[in-house]
Amino acid sequence: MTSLHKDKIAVRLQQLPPLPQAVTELLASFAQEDVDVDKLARQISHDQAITARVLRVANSSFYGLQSKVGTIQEAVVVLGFRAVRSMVLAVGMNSTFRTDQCRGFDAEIYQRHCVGTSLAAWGLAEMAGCNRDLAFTAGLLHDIGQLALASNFPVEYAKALEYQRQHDCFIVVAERDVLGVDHTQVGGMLAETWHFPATLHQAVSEHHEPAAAKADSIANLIHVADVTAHALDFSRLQEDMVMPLDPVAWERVGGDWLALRQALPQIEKGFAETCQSLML
Amino acid sequence: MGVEDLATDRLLPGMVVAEAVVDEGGRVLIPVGVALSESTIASLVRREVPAVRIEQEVVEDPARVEAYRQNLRERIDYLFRHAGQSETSRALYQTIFDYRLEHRA
Repeated sequence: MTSLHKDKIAVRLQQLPPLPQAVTELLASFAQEDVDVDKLARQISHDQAITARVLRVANSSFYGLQSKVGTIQEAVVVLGFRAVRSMVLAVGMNSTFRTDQCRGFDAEIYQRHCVGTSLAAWGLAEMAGCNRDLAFTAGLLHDIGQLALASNFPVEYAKALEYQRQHDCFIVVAERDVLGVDHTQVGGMLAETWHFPATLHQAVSEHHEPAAAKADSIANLIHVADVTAHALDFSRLQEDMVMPLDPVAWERVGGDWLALRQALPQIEKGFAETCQSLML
Repeated sequence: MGVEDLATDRLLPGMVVAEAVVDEGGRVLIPVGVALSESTIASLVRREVPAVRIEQEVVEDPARVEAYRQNLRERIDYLFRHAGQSETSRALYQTIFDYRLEHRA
């Protein structure tokens, strides 16, 4: 066991560069009642690196725009706020964590799973009585602890990934066995460091044990979405595996098989579109 | 959906007309989209209409359908290998399986 002490992790997380301002503002916007889209667009455009990458995606052939968009504000008008926000969050998080030093960590599979969970959460939000955009973002970020581990402790995390491969077990089990800590705990620490809104904090830290979360925690929905994304084979990981669907969480999100069945085509369509827009 | 020209003596009740059947004067005997009945077929025979263009349902090769089903079953069984036997996990399995079977790529 390569046990990672929580103190050591905490110190390392404190040393992370702060999230790009644009990302922080977008995250905070989820806790706000009224979102000032113009103001957010202005804030995003202050970050040149993020703006350049988002515009590159927005101007990619996928969208087939007649004329190119040159500013974030134009991108919001043409593509919609939701599309731009998901680009900014995905691009912003990626620029903060570099995972190429971690052997066995496949960033594309990670992203595909997160986007898949996002879309599943978005598609099931109505059934669960949850805000769709919040559900989408919570899905996008739910496994961020994995990203933090792979980028800050690449050697140790590679061992956990190898252990998972050998034992054909869930990643949380491998993390606990090898590191003594799992991605929900590390994600929770990161959420504190970066002052995530409470809902997103819950999504990150409680999605693997929703029954222990509060009945109205978004972790219930994210757990269901996480399981659904695995069941739909979104990551394209050959060895992927579906976790047991927690009956408590299913009950709490107003679980209805017909509603799930009817949401599936929309979830798959949204997934395909989002992957294309993010070039996954 | 394809179309097929069938000799009148091979028509069966329930088959759907893909192109209006007209007499020599151009009068419509059976409009497009109508399902044939015993009596309409009999009238076609009486009028000595040689053939009728009918809609042909694309009949899928049962072996291919079965192969798809088999592959699907194997993949979903594999994905669910650690999902347990709880009622919720089984119901999710079935929902995904039915969906994939219906929405074949």
